[in-house]
Amino acid sequence: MFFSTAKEIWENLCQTYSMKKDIAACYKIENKIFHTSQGSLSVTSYYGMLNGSWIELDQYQNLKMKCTDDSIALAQFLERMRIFKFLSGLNSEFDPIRIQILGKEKLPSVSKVFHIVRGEETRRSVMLDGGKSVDNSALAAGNSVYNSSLVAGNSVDNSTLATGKAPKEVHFLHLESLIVMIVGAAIVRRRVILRKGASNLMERRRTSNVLENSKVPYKGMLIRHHLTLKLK
Amino acid sequence: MSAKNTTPLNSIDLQVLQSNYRLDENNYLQWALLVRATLKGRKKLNHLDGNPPAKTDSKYEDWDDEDFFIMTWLWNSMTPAIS
Repeated sequence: MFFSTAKEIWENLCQTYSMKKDIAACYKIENKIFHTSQGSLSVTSYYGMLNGSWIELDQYQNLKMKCTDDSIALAQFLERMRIFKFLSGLNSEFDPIRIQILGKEKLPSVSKVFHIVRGEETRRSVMLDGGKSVDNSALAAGNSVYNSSLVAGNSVDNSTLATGKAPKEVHFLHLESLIVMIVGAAIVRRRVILRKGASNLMERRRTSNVLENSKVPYKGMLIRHHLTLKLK
Repeated sequence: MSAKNTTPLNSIDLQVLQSNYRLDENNYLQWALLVRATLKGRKKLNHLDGNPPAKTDSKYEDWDDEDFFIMTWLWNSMTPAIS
């Protein structure tokens, strides 16, 4: 390059490489965003990838709004689109958190959404089984208020599954404390009944009655039963 | 090519950019941000978007030297294919 001042170099580079209003460049980025999904990436690097592309896109599109109201509306619209894109590309293990975010009356900002999902990822990584089981994802959908009891219920499930029979302490937990049952699917329901089968027949009948009488809107719905059965 | 050794005239020290931040075909945006931030931090941004002082001005010579220094720094911040 033959220029006599730094400014000339700078301006020339700007013209050559900045790709302002370059439609092909925009297409390339949009295309990349469209095909980006979390896959094997961590939430952080997935978000970083998307965010980088969005910033680039903003630069290239070079949109100029004339009035403040419009620019606010545009910003909100973009924010929404980006939240949707971010959420839709997440792996299925984040389904519950996705539902939680979309269920909010007012969507948080993209960075806030990222923060929530990242927190969820961290929480999952500290769980022993890596949060792969069906029960866990159902648990995560629950309110944080119920989390402690939910987690207790989960550990009961796991230990029952592992040992194949209900240990005594588990029984106590189920009948004496406030019982939280997760009816995720028919399998889970059957599992619960089977577990109850380890106790006496009367209780089994009562439990299954409760289960059948409860209105299950659709599979995967979380139902909490506060059983007041007393241990003899 | 350390920038420090070639600054007898001004106090700015411009480190040569790390090789993976140098300008290539597809990182212009990042590179431009980095260069602007670096020069702004050295109070030398006027070399990119300001106007030079008049040639008759006593400051002109200093400015010109500085400008050449920044030019070399810019070249060193690009991949050979571009510079």
